[in-house]
Formats: sequence, structure tokens, C-alpha cells
Amino acid sequence: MSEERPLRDDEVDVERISAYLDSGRAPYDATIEESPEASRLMREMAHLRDLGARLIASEADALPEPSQNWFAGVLSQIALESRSGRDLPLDVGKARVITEGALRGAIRQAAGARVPGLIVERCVFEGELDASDSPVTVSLRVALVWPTAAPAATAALRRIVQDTVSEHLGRVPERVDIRVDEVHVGGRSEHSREDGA
Amino acid sequence: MEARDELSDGVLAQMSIDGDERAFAVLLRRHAGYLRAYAIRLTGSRADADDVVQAAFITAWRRLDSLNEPDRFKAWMRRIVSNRSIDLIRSRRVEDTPIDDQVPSPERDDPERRAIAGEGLQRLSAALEALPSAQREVWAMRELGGLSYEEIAAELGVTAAVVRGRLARARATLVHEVEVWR
Repeated sequence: MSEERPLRDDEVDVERISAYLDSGRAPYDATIEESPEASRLMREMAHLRDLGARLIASEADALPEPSQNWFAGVLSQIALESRSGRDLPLDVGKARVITEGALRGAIRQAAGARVPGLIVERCVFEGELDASDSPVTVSLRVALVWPTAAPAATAALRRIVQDTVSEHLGRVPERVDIRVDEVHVGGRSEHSREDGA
Repeated sequence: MEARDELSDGVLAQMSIDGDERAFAVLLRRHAGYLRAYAIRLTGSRADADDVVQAAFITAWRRLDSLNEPDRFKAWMRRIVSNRSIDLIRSRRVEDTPIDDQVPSPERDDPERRAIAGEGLQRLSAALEALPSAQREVWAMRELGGLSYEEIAAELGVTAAVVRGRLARARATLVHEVEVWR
């Protein structure tokens, strides 16, 4: 069967109704909405969409978990390709480098241990990190778990960032920007976890 | 259960972009089931779907920098899984030519298929398996994967108008099949 043969008249209607449904039924099309036959077909197509969502959810639920090897296959590969970022020179006098990733890791670890209720999402270093006299800015995005108080938590994080950066790079960051992105209430976030489909 | 399990996709994706492997592992466990089910519908094979989804997560890790909307991690993954599934289907067709309107072997005896609750779902499942593959792919990417006409067109290397036509035909057939038995 060829997919690209000319459409019959009744198929043109079907195609128009189908595309109208996908357009979110806007702008309003009276020839579809006010035709009993066309609007019935559109409702059937919408019902089909709901049925499809239920079908895939039910199949996902019924699917046996993949083997541990399956998960390990992904995780071992990503560990090999670690996103460690740029190499940074360590404090003067130490003949080694530290990666951005390791410095971020040190900040995360200290924040995790010392600031309960705060999760570091992103931690970005800006500036000429490999030039030992150039200013460094650290921008962080964090999420807070309710009822953690934002001012105290972010002040504690700021101190940790200043201490950790100066310990490893021998420079105090010029600026530490902290943006609170999200507050979690009892394990649920005020951001939607799903994206709708 | 670790604290990361409680975090939203957006937060976990941000942490993953920053190199947090454990955050990425939570995303993997959270979405593996749905994405595998979706890939089974596209490829018609559980073994292929498992390979596709595994490769898709590795691709995702490499491309995290291009994830502009971390909150939409799941939609982003659907796109990668769609892409890998279509590649696999195409390579299979090259190997097994000539195949016209190939229908993947329906795994009718699969326990998960039998476990599908509800007659409507069973009818839809059977009707989908009977569709010409070109229509089924488009329908699955649109209705199960949530891809736009343009995204589907890009995956398949056809125009959006072709996608629109195939989708309408698929819907008309499915509506008829599901309704006939109602």
C-alpha cells in the first residue's frame, strides 16, 4: 500500500480532524465542532489517545525489571565517561591538578554533610580558573527541602564554597551566587516531576 | 532508598549535568520501565528495546549539555529512544529486504501482554499490531512518545504532511477497530 497516493474525500476529512485534534482544537473550527459526525470521530480519536497512555503505563508496570546487568551496563559506561570538566591547577607549590568535577564534588560533599535540607543541583565555576591570579566566580543552583530556612542554608553553603575553593585553588572566590530553584515538601517537589505526556 | 529518590527530574537532571552519576542512576531507574515499554511498541521486540534504551541512556549522559530544559528530561529521553528505535528498525529492514509493511512478531504469549488489564486496552493492542508498520510507528511516536509532527518527520526523513496523513489513517483504523468491538 502506498502511503503517498492521493487522498479520497472522506480521508481528507479524517486528516483534517486528526490534525485539528493535535492543534489543541484551536483556532475553533465550526465545520468540525458543529458536525455530529466529525466531532464524534474527533472524540473517538481523543479517547484513543487516552487509551494509548493507559496501554503504555500498564505495559510498563507489567514489564519485569531488567537484570542488574542491564543497569550496570549503563552505569559502568557513564562512570568511564565521567563528566569531570576542566583541569584546574592546585594551590601554588603542589605539583598536581584537580578537575572541576573533583572541586564540585568536594563542595557537594561538604554541603551534604554540613547543610541538611539543601541539595546542590548545579555548581559552575566562571573565570580563568587556570590563571592563578584571576578572579573566580562560583554560581550555584540549589533545591531546599521544606522546612529548611533559605537564609541560613545559603549562608552556610556560601562559607563552604569559599573555604573549599580557597583550600584547593589558593584563592577566595570573588563572588558566590546562589539561586534557590525549588523547595521540596515532604518528598514532593513544587515543580512537577512529570512533563505531561 | 536514598535522598536522591525524592528529587524531581529537573533537579536530578541538573545534578547529572554537573556530573553526579548517582543522580543520573535515579533517573535511569525511574524512567527505564516506561521507556522500555515505549521502545517495545516501536521495535516490536523486548530484547531490541532493552538494547535501545540502554544505548539511549548512555547517549543521554554524553549529551547532557544539550538538555536545555532539565524539567523535560523524560520528553528528551523519549526523543532519543525514538531516534534509536527508528535507526534499529531501518537497519533491520536493510538486512531483511524486501519487507513491505512489516509487522513485528506480536509477542502474544508474553505474560505482560496477557496481563494488560481491560478489554479496551487489549483491543487497542491487537489493532496496533495489525497496523501497517509505517502507520504504527507514526502513531506510537505521536501518542505514546508525545513527539510533534516535525519531530516525527525528522526521525523518519519524510515531510510533516506525510506524518499527518499516516497518523490520520492510523487513527481512523484504530478508532474503527476499537469501536467495532465495543
